[in-house]
Amino acid sequence: MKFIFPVNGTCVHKYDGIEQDGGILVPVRISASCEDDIRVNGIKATYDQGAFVVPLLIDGYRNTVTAENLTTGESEKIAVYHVPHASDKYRISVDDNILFLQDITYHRDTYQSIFDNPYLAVFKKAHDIYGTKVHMNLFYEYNADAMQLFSDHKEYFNLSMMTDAFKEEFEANAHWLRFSIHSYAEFPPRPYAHATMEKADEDIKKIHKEIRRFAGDACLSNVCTTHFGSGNRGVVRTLRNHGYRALTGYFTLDKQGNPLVAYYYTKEEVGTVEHRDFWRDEEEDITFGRIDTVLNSLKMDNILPTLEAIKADNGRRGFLSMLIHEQYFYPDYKTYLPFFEDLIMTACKFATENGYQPSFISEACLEEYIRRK
Amino acid sequence: MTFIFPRQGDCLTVYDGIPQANGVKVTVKVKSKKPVTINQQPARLDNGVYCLDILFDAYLTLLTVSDGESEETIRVYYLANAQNTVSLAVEDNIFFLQDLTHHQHVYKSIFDNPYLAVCKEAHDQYGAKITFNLFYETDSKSLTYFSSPREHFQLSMMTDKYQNEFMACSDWLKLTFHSNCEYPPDPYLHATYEETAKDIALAHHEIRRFAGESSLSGGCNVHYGSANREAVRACRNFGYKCLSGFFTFLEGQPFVSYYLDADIVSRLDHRDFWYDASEDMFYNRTDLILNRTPYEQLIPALEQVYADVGRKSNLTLLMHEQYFYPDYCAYLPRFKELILDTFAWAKEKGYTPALMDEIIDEKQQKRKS
Repeated sequence: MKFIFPVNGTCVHKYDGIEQDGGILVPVRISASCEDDIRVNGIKATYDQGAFVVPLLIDGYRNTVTAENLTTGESEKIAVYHVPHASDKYRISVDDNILFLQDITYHRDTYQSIFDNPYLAVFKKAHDIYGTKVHMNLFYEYNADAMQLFSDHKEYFNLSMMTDAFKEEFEANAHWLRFSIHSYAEFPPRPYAHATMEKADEDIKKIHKEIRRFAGDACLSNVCTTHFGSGNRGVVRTLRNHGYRALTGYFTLDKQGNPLVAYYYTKEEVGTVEHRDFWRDEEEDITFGRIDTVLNSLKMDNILPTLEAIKADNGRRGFLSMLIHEQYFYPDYKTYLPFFEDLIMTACKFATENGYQPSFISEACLEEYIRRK
Repeated sequence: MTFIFPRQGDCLTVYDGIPQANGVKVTVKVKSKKPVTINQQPARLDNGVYCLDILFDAYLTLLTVSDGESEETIRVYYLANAQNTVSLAVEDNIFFLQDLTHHQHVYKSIFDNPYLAVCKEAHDQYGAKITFNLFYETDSKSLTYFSSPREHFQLSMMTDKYQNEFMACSDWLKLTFHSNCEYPPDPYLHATYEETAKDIALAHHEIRRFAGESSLSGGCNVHYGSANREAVRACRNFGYKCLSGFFTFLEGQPFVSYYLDADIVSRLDHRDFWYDASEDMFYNRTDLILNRTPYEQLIPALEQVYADVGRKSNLTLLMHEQYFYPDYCAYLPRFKELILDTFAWAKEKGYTPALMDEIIDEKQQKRKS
């Protein structure tokens, strides 16, 4: 006997079933021999198209679902979460951020606002027009290795050098613009795949200290994407220890069939979450979220078909999580995208026109944002 | 490999080790036949036990012990907000709501009710924060313990006239589910999920109606601490994150301890809190039942709790409503003194009043970095 859907840690939203009584009536599917007597939370399941099925109301936040095989005596218990605010929501997240902070520091005596910075101005425009909420994952430093990919950006910078002149303005915009750790620097890639807990602890502390200094506590998010979604269990435990409650990644397979931007998830585990928005790892007490698309990997003419394809995937259509990387904004970057702003604005326009509302991931999947049953 | 201390679900306080600026340094002890690492750091062998001093300065720490071949991971919490806190819960509440309803055209404030006035005095003098566990209704048997005739009452009859005042006081006065009524005892010992859910839904509906969403607590004491796993799952599904009970033994059996077995109860008996990962629920040890404590023994009893290192951080007190009323068969004339003198003692000892939500919720804890 085995749960097919939901499984332990599944976060369900309205596209997983029928909205009813403040919850979702979800068809719980269990595999077992067709001759067995299966009960789900005491309700007798019926065998249909190769699986036992019971419609079960999932409401509140945490639901315990117990399956019992009265024929064999087996039983299994899972936790299933109802995340009502994860339906019809979207966010933009940006990885590899550091250069815009250098620019703000250079121009601290001339900029009247952080949004005088041309890069932040793009996101402000999206926020002003569409209400977009933006999450930025930060590097601690910009160094010689990273400079090799730029023709003009040739000066070293780290977060300790960032001016605190705009702290109040950052705090005033924390309702739509937040920061978190990404990694110490751009290179090496996958920095936390084999890192120790001690190394992760050092990096997190350094970055948090600076975010709090120059942008204030309210700007520090409890969600992040580590660089390359790299993080062994020890690193993820360290992130959790520092207050991160959710991590996002691609959770798909690369061309070689290996897990891509998926933390410690194996190929088989990725297969179980690839078509979901959110799920919880019950062992680590952390929520994972699927990044739906990487905007800088798209051409302008395939952005809408890509977003439509996500919308057609029931398990992923609830929360549209769209990612871009800072580097592509700059004309001196070796793979500069002149239509960087168009990518953002087109994505936000699509989301708005398709009924998606802006949301941070914390607002979508953490219990404290959900109305109590 | 076996964790000796802390163990799975333990909630640490500064009294478990050496207090540090942002946490507590605790010697983690593991029994193992082979050398081990704990969170990737080598542990030292000390009197046959592997030890490592670890700073607990975050809400949740996952501890992994490894001997190179196998490993085990446990969850350990550091509840910084529990440090030197005092919480008062009152159980079996229903009559004061009946009185408020009867006097809705007379009382200008909920604190014109004499019973709530006692609590308000404790709040005004000592900042007391109080959680009232409510019955949904009176039952005929419970009324026989009163010498004066009392009428049936249920929460649906409670006036909503005072909703704004309840909401205004919800930073110190919380309301929560207790059970449908006083009898039978142990109402959820054998209850189904559905039966429990039905009772909670009824109570929540009325609390929201007459006292507002903000008055609803995230912690509760289920009547007699009687709840099997299914009943606790219903509590969790309705948003409860912490259940309080006695977590001690009576005639060798776990007493007012929900479904927790003797092994867990024997640990929690000398702890403030314990977390059950299997149900995602915190449990809180009630330290002293004021209405069972003769007034003359109050301070010695409090001192005894204070002397128990595992329990001294958070002082959880319990009272029952009935004992306030002169017509109750076991009326306590010193009801008010028991409450006020307890808070006076707690204040002198440096305790600060706190609600369970403030102690338990991660969002209310200071982040590590």
